[in-house]
Parts: sequence; C-alpha cells; structure tokens
Amino acid sequence: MDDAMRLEDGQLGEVGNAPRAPGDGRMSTTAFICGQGRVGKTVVANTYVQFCRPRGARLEAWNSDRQNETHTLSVFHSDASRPATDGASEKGYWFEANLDRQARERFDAVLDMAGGDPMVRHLARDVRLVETMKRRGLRAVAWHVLGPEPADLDYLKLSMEGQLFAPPATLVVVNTGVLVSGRSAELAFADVCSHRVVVDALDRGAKLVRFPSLECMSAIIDQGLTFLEAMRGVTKPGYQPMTFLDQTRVEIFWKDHIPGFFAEIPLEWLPAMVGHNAGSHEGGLQ
Amino acid sequence: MSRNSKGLRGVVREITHGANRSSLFWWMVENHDQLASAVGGRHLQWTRLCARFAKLGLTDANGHAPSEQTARKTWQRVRRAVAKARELAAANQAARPQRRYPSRISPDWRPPVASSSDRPGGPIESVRTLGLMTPARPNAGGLPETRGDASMEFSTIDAEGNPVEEGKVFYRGRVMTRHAAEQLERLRRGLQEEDRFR
Repeated sequence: MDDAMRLEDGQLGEVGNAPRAPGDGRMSTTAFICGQGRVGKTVVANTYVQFCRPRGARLEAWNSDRQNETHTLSVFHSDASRPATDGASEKGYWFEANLDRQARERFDAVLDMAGGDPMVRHLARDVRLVETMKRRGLRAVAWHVLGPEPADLDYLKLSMEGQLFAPPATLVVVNTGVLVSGRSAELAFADVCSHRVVVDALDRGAKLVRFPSLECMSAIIDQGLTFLEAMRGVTKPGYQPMTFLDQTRVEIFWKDHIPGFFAEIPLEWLPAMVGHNAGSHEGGLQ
Repeated sequence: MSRNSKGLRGVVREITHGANRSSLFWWMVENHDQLASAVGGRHLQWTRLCARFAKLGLTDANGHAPSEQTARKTWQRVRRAVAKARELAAANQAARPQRRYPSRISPDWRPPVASSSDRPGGPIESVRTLGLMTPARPNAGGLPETRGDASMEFSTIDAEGNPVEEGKVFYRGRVMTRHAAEQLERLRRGLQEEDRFR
C-alpha cells in the first residue's frame, strides 16, 4: 500500500470499521462485572449504576444474567437491557448489537454477567475484544469480583490464561459483603489475595480494591430498594420496616464508604461524571 | 511446645486452612529456625535428613517415609508459610493501637461534645471522624501512613535467602512487583481496620 494511503492506527481500525468518533478524545467505558456465582456481582453492578447515573453519567445497564430473577439488575433498573433468552447465540448477538450501538452513540455501559459466563472470554478469543473495542474508542474495564473461597478465583484464572481477557483496565474487587458476620476479613481473604492469579494480575497493572460491606444489604436487595430509598426508610408492602440504626448504616455506606470506594478507581476507568473527583468523597448525594 | 511456636503454628494453620499437612510439615514449622540457621547458606543434606526423619517417625501426607524430593518441597512450603505467618504477625503488632494509660492522660482532657448538627433528622457525622476509612492516620511509630508507597517497606530477599530480581520484592511468600505488594498491603490494612468492627 502507498504510504500516502496508509492511515494512522489511531484513525482507522480494522478494515470496514468507521474511524473513531471525534470529540475530547475520551474513551467510553464498558464495565464488565464478572466472576463466579454468589460473589456479589449484581450488588456491585447495581451500586455502580446508582452511583454514576445521578452524577451525570450517560450509563446503560446491560443484564446478561437470565439465571436469576429475584436479585437481578433488572429488578433495580427497569431500563436494563436484557437478552431475549439464555441461549449462548442469543446472548452473543444481543451483546454485540449493544456494543455496536455504544460505539456509535458514545455512552458508557455496565454489563452484569451470570456467574462464570464464558461469553466475554469467547468473544475475546474470537475477535480480540479488548483491542477491537479500543480501536472504536471503547475502553473495556474488567471488574473481577472475588469472594473468600479459592474457587472464586476461577473466572479470573480463566480470563488471565494466555491474556484471554486481560484489559489494561482491570480491577480485582474483594467483596467483604459476602463474609459471614464475625469472621475475620483479613484471614478470610488471605489465601485468595496471595494466590498466584491475583499477584499475576496485579503485576500486570491491575488495581486491587475492597468493596465495602453493609450489614443490612440483604434487606435492601430483597425489597428491590435503592440505597437512597433505604436511607429514607422506604418499605415495600409486605416487608418489615428497617430500623433507624439500619437506615444510619445505609447512610454511612452510601455517603462515605461508596464514594471512598469509587475514589480508589482511576477516573478514566469510570464513566464521565459531572463534578466527580477522585479522592473526594464528602457528602455524596443529597 | 513453646508458646511462640504454638502461636506460629496457629497462624500457619489458619493461612494454610489447616489443610491436610503431614507430620513432617509441622515438624519443620516447629523447628524452622533451627533448620534455617543450621543451613547457614549451604544446601541441606537431604539424604541424611530423610534418614533422621524416618527415625523420628515423620511421614509425608500419605503416611509414608518422605522421599528426598518430598522433603525438599515440604521445606520450601514451610519456609513460605512461616515467612507469611511472621509478616502477618508483625503487621498485626505494628497496627495495634497504642494504649494510653490513665496516668498518661492529661487531667484537662474531656470527651468531645456532640456536634450542633446532631439534631433529629440532621445529617450524620462522616464516619471518618470515627476513624473508619481514614485516608491517613499515625501508625504505631507515630509516622503518618500515606496512601502512597513511602511508608511500605518490603523485603528483597526470598525464602531461600537469595536476593530477588531487580524491581521486585518478596511479600507473603511470593516474589512480585512493588506495585502488587503495595496493593496487597494496602488491602490487608483495610481488612484489618474492618475487622476491628466485625
């Protein structure tokens, strides 16, 4: 090819793809909330949406988990996009269509995945997902949510093998919320945190963060309440009202712990938000 | 069994989940320091040691007299586990808040008065005033712990006593980048802080 015809890599991706959209150069983010079952992925995804949207993020919620109906992202966010069925082909088609739309419309997205779902790994293998997304101005951010069991590392292990799905923007999220009350968090997570898979991920630049626990989280999740609703004492029909102490626990979690958690995450790994400043976590929402 | 070795054994058991460890493993934990100092930088004579282990009735995890390879690998595991256990113990000791005995408290000290914002329905005080999620506070040595890496010191010698690769450190029984060690140590301190309120 004539050098004059040869375009810069940043101007044109693979053959057939449109050039990256102009603008401030900021990449839209797609947060992949992944991990094994029962580690708290939906709680993390739900919190992500509740935190980012009121701060001005143009954020879509994508819920690929069709194995749960009670505690699923769609219960908390009725606008969450969902595949029609749980079939692998349908889910793949649904995800690709959403991603294509995101590349054109430039919003941010969060994908809540079923426990151990291989969909993203397969795409990563077939179409070099992370690199292809980058060429279209989309930053893949992997959120590997971990509980204290060694088996909770399986998804991270499979993703890291051969760099299958190992974007530069990778978070290893230790979720102390899944611990039984009274159990030492430090000892419970000692093995997981010192595992070769986690160390390898950190050696490659991943960031290790701790998702804060909330004692009354199950009461909130069971009712499908937002954190603001729980803080204000909203009770759904058929449920016991939360005690005022629990309301205070939610307020502390929502106004202090969660902003502190997000302040640990690099800004470019999060959706664009108005007024959000890493390191600042005073007050939170009013 | 000395008190120290009981404590060390307990932490090692917690770290290894009390997994099915052999009598050889636990003997090596209890005699770790003597073995390590007897080595003195030289290679262990595994043939002779295995004969000694057999006389002591020590076995591998399957109840058999350990082979030289098994004994060697067990020793490596023990060294990693003991190093990790001692790191945990040292960190716990350093993080323990210093007690202030009544004789050292000023006679003029009074408990803090409740804030005027603490009215019914008013916003609560940030929990940072209670010491939770505090970005920086003095450690036991009186020096501020920062979110940066300045206060974190890591070993550059591995379990075998060899210097690690340049740019790497030895932490929790593994060689890793400083970035990884700092992340893990920061998390460990955060979990420890959380444990105070569990």
